[in-house]
Amino acid sequence: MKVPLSWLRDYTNIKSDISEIAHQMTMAGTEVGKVTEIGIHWDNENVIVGEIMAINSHPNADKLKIVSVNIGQPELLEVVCGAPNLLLNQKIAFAREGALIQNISTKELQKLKSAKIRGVISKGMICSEFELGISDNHQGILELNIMEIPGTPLKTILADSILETELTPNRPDCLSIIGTAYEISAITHNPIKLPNPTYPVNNTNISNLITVNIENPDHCIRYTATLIKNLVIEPSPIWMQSRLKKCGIRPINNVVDITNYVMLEYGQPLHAFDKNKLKDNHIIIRESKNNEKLITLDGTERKLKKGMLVIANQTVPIALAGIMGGQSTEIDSSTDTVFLESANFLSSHIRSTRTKIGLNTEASYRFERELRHEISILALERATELIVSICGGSAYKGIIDAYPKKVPAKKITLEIKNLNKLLGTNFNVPQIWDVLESLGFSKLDNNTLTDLSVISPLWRSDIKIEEDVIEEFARIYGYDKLPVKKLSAELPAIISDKLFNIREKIRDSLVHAGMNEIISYSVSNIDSLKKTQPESENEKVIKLLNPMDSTKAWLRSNLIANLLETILINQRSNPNIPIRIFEIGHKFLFDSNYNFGDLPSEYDSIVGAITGVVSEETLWTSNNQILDFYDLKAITEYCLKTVLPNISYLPNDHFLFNSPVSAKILSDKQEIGVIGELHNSIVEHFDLQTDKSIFLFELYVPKIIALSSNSQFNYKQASKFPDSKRDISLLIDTHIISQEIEISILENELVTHVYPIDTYTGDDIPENKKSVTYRIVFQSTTKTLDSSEIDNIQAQIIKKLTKKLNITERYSI
Amino acid sequence: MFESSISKYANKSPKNATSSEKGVLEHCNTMIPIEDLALLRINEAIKELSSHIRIAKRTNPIIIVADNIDLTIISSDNPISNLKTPNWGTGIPQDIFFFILYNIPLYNNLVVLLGISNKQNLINQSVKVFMSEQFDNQIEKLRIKAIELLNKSDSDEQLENWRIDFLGRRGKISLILREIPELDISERKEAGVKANNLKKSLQESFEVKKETIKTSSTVNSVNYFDVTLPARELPKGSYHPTTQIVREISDAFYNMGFQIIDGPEVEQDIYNFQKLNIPIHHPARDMWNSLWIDKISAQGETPLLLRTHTSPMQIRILEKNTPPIRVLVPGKAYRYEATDATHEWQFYQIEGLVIDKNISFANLKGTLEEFAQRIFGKTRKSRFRCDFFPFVEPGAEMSIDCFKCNGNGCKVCRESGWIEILGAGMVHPEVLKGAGYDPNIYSGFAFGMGAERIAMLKHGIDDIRNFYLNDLRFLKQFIH
Repeated sequence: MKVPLSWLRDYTNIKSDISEIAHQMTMAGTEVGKVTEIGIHWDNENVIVGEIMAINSHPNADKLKIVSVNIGQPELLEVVCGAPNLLLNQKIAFAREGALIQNISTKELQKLKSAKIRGVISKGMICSEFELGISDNHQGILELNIMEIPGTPLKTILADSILETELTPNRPDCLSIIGTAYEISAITHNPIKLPNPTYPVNNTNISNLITVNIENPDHCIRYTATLIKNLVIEPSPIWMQSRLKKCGIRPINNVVDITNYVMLEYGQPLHAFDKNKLKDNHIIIRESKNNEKLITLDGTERKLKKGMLVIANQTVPIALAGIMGGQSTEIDSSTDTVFLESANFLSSHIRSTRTKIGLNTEASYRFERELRHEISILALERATELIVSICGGSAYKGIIDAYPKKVPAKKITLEIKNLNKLLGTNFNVPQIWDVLESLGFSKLDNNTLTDLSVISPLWRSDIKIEEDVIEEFARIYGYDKLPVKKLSAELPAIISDKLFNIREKIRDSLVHAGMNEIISYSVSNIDSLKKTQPESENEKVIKLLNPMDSTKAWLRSNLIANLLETILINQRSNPNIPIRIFEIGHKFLFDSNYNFGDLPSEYDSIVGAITGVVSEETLWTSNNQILDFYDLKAITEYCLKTVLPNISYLPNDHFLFNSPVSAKILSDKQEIGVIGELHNSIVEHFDLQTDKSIFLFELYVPKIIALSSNSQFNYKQASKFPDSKRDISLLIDTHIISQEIEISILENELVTHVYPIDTYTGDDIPENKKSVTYRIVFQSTTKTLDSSEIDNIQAQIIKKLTKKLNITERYSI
Repeated sequence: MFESSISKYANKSPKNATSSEKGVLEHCNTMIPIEDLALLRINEAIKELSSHIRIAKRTNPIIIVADNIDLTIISSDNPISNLKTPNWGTGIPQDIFFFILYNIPLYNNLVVLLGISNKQNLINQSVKVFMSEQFDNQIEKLRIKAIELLNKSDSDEQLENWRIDFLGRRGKISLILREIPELDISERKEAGVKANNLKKSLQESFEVKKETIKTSSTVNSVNYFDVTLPARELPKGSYHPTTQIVREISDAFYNMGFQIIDGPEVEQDIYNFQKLNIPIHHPARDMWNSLWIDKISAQGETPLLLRTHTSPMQIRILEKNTPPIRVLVPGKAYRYEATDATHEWQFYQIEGLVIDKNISFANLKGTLEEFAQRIFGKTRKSRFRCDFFPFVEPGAEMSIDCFKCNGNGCKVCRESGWIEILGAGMVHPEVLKGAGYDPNIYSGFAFGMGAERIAMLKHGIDDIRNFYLNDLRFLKQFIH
């Protein structure tokens, strides 16, 4: 809210430097985002009050006038002016040559020079608010109070500082000048003085003329009103307009301006109805019926739904309670009797209605933040006073005050030990009361040393419990002055998060293996998701109601789609770099047995991919190698070995991968992931480079977690005896996988290790056969094996392989 | 190009050059190639030059411009210490070389200015040459011979023989030095200087040659190995900058006894808001614009959303555990907000919660100050101001003094000297009660901070949108 310093001074003394106050307010929780100094560049010589003494037409321009201005000196100054609102004897803001004014086109300060305008010399300027830097308004000149004396420096009457507060939703009190003044008075320890409205009344009692009936006392908590007749609608006084404008509100007419003025002053929204347009004399506050309609003051026809709170006469709604008045009872130039409303509505109901209607107003903004019921009547009296004194008119006797469920101000007991415990301090009652009193708390009679019974300050709706009072004390006392103490308590029990450890271990291994971690958005495109997951999951994808980007409205049900998008982005920005990326993140699905309202299924997934040529930058080594399946397999092995034992790979048909470069990854016979060469159709779908294969893996984190809890590692004694190596070359059916042969060979307990060292197919190898040379390591834990023993074992192995897998020996070394 | 070099050079010439700058430039147009200058003595060179340049005998400088000139002639008597660039040993194949001779008639006061224009810089050296006809001749002959032989030596052995022959104790230089006492007394001093200069110069040439032979023998040998060729690279992995900062912060708290926990990103309204003391239709909901999940009840309720903060984990942890509790929950959060350089709709938050008997606001300050010092440096000062979050009371915001400018005001802290780091507060009694705790017995504090913001501050990243574009050119910078 914009708070003019000049207005604040009506209620409290402000002596300190404004920037110091702004800082203190910010530290105390009512943040001042900006202080705007109006008139800081006006000099007393050249920016002054002027009086218009003559207005003559310009010989060379229809729209321009030659104006003679009295600036308190014997000679009048002639200026050329095109403003539409020039009046004889008007008091205006006059800038003489040399004054600093804001340039309309550059919006920068500029020194004013006399100029010839259409052949007439203009010795200065009659200023608009824009040129003076008061507001953005440059439609017409700024009109001053008629009482101002020509020649008076403008600075002495208009200069001001505007505090722009940025308030948290709990502080509607500071959406008013008085509420802000309370805050400053507490910070600066200056007393507060409130207006004490009084006004004359006529002899007729308001209750004889109009009745108010609250049908829904849960939503309309209090409804107060006065009635004023014989008033005259005209522009409000210049001092009032000036204050409204400084707060960013456009003046309309005296009655409307007064309701706005009091809203700014007290924080209480008010509404003035034209009594003569009410149709009947019954005001009913009720819920709207389905399909009722109301044209609001902004000229829009609003279709109301059942249950919205309205102000109505006996037949139709005339205002949307707490949000906006209706056009049918609007104040206009012919209005002579005003029914003035100051009410209090349930904050959540106002918020709910304004959300449904889609209309956010100054009034609804305040009501939804919860206002004190006590203020309704104070603001009403103040506004009535101003209407009677400014618009003429005569107020009827009495005030309507419908307050069906009156809530007395709540007493809060603050135990001193609780305050000291929560803050870690050692304050006593007088120290605490000193601060609370400055905030406007009132104390109920008690003289104990152990507690304080208080009632919260009149403007504050947010102080409800003891802790709220403690915060009030702490923030004004100063958070920075409160003590500092390190934690020193019993250590907490371990909340096991196995996921965290395993996931981070894998993340470390992947990075150490040379992969670059990415983090992508948790949303994706539905087509991309469908292309990268089994069909059965397509109907489980979770959709957002209000996505940031309508093409990415689905929560990712797999991480592959975004991973491939990332490859695409990087292939485009640098087509030649090798790409090695991975992501660890949550994926989301509605399981088939999902119950409405429950959390969906959400768990970690790990995906990674590599593509391109090994380090283009080191081509000089002529080790130019295209990244392939076995490069990626090295990475998955490297990262999985740190968390699980017995990792193996088996051929696997999978929609993600080109057959046969596709495998499932197993640990203890359970599938924990897949790996393979990305299927050509997916490559095409994502528009990826087709000349380089992409190799990709996905790991199922929940499975890995489950398995890792069973895994236990046992140390094996290394043999003291030497090992022997033999290479045997085998003729194998092409479809037989290496792992099967290795397992078979390893079944012999004297074989400690077996691995292929060469594969070969060629002219001398029959069709459907391949030649693979295995190196077999023999070792005993009890003795040194001699050559004949090894020959023997080797023969057994070949025999078994032949019998089991139709494998024959080509030769051995 | 060359002309401009000359004029630049001329400006730096000794004072008697200035009068003839014009002449210098004129003769630049009559550049003459001088071949095999190495074989010429300087005075012969001057004669040779005079036949080409008519003004040679004037007291004006002569400019000789030659390509591919052998430097040794110039450097013979002149200890030109900075002529050590390897290329110079065998001439200047690409660059243009020139020198200027002053006061040519005054033979004993010959000034030789050497200049090398490498097309960008002009390197020059001026040397006074003193010459006495007879003795000079001897020295000059010796020098020419020595250099000629030195140039022919291309093995360590030959070089050593050369050294003994010229520079050895009974070498030719020693012999010539022994002749000096025989000279006229007026010549002795000058001759001594010249002979010693020759010795010094040959010594230097010898060292250069020795080094050259050493290098070339390495280059030509089978042991050739260039350590400067690029490595056969191991791929360099990298953690995402968000992961890095999350880990750094997690480590700081882990060391203070906090446990690190994960939580769901799709949340229920009840956890994201209601149990955090933010009822439906509470204006504080404006602080967290939500992305809702498309699951709507018959009554029009949307129970699920992407969590707008990590705070719902406070409730889940409170409900599942018993005090004492000290946890840290890093994770993604989402808000329906327009993105710009400082706002991203998806971001990481780090939530902390401490619950026990007797936890006070003083503990909140102590813990968070400790954290700030661990992450931003030991001398960091912290500042707390009142702030509002519905699930804490009292609520606070912590700033630290700017680590870039130490609080003096700079771009990073927007001239304020302070940087907002996190929101915090004492857990609201309604939150405790809602999770089944008696606020008269237990109290605690909670805090939350944006991870990217802290990473941006630490690394000087000025646009948060860099984080989730996954451009490898960005990500690969975070290998540390």
